[in-house]
Amino acid sequence: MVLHDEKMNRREAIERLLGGSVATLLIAGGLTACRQRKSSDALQANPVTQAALHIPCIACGDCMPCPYGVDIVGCFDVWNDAADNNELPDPKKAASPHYAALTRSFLADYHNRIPLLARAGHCINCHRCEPLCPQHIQIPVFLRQMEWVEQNAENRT
Amino acid sequence: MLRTVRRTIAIVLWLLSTLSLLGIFRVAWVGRIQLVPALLAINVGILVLLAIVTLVFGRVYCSVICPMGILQDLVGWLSRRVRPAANRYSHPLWGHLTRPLILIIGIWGFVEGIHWLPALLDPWSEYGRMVTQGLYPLWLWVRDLLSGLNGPLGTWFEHEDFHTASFQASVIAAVVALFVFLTAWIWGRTFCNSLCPVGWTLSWLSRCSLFTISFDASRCDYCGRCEARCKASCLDARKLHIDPSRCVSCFDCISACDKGAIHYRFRYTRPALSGKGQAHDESRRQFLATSALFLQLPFVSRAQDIIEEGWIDEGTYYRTEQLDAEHEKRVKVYNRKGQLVVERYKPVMPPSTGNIARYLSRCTSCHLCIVHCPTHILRPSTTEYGPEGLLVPTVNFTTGFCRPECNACADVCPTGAIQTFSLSRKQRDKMGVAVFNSLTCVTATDDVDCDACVRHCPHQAITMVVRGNHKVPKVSVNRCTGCGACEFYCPALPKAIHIEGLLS
Repeated sequence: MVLHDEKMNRREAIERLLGGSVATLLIAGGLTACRQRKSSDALQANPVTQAALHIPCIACGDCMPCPYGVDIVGCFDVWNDAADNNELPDPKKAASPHYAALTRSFLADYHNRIPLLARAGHCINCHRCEPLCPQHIQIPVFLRQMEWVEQNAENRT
Repeated sequence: MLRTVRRTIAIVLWLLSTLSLLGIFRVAWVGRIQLVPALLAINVGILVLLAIVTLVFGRVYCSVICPMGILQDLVGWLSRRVRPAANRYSHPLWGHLTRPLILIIGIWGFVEGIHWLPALLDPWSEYGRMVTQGLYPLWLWVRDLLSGLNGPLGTWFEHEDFHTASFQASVIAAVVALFVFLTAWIWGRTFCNSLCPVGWTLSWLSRCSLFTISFDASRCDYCGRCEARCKASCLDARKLHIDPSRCVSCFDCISACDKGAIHYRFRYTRPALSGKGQAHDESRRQFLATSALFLQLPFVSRAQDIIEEGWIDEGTYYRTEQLDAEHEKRVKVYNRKGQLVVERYKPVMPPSTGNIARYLSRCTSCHLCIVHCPTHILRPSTTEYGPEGLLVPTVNFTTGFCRPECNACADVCPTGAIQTFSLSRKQRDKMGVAVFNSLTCVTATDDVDCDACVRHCPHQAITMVVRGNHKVPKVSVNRCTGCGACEFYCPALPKAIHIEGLLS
């Protein structure tokens, strides 16, 4: 099917099929797992691995302003930039030699673009933004995920 | 030759200390080998080493190790480039009186607990404050510019949203810097010659050093070049005499003399041995008396059970009104919009500092820890510790919290005011304790569920208990280390959960 076409970005293919929802993440994650079983090298070679973590945010800004000051759109933008380039420092792969370089570039990008008090950690999980999102993104879940990656990266540096 | 060696070592050490005061490198030993920090840390090894170096080579400490001395040399060197030196540096007679007087004032301040007096007089700390208050903001600005670059260079620098300068500290540092630069430009090493108590103390040792600068009167034609070059204004070319209280063994006079009349020689040559041996003993006795004076000073025991505070016991909620009657709110933190962020009854000290008296007596406010704190929570204090504790670093959780995997401040502290601690000790040692105020909590003001403090506590010291419609935090005093994660992440304004220091 479409997914076997090497020229096509797998995320784009899935998004085209499903209209860009959270299901993207789940399906692509499942596909990655299948592929992972085939060959361990494929995980690093496969650009889909992290592109699948792309958050389907369209930067409409309906969720903003966050009552607790989180720059939701900016945070997702930083995350997507890193995920699209396969540059997210995955804490599960902290032992890999690339992790240190990835953490530095990710943290620098994140800290340069988002002010201290507008970063993902300041989400208090009030879920006020969720009904406002036209893409039905579970915003607090993704912000939590981003904070987890950031905290792990900071612990390493 | 000697001068080149001296200059090379001096420049290397000066660059190392300046760069570590800028936070670019972390070279802790540069601060530890300074005399006053070593005295305060009772670092016997370094003290013996400095004494041996001074007893062998003379007072090279001031021209090689002390960054303040090297700075004055650099300014003087620059001034001689700009305005060719015609006159020799002069030295007023009162300069001999001021240094012992200032030493006495410093020791008196140390004994009486007027912390800022010795801190003002220590050259290392003065230099530290000049760099951290003057150069460091500049470096941050440069770093900000660099962080905007694309490519690999940009990833090395991060934009940081904080400022470490405080008004009082900047004013004091600016006054000192202005004084040092101006006097060094006009009169050479004025600070060393007439103010610095450290150099004066060392000069008593250097009077009996093994090697010394000596004249060969038969070769000298009294041209006065050595006198014009002498940056410590200690040399009298007519009498061929060097004032030992000011000479820093910089060897400038040796390189200035083209007749070869000045040498750096072994002092105790055989014919003079009997006469000078007594002088040796006498000055050694003086040195012992001086060091005994330092050692006899009361060192405050650090063992103090900090938990036993009347108003902190496990499992109770703290209403700030209940405390109003007993305590005074000394610490007030405002954000940049001028809103009140937090009010503390007691200031928070950096980790592993023991009690307040010990901390204040050891710290000389060189602000090395402030620069090296990765979350930038250390700031120079203003009124937090009272008037005697001006400029001593205090903790302010507006830019982050004290990370459990970090001991940078203890690692760099040269005076031992922040004691070295292992990371496992950091899980237990207390800086303060979290106090919850239900009135400003967002569960009360905004009617939402919030778990920011629980989620971020690295020591699992907070549990949630049901109160009305929402869950509110309950702090376990035994587990809480006062790291400030809850305070930093608390969304309320003023903060509903904040850290109280454990001063007694």
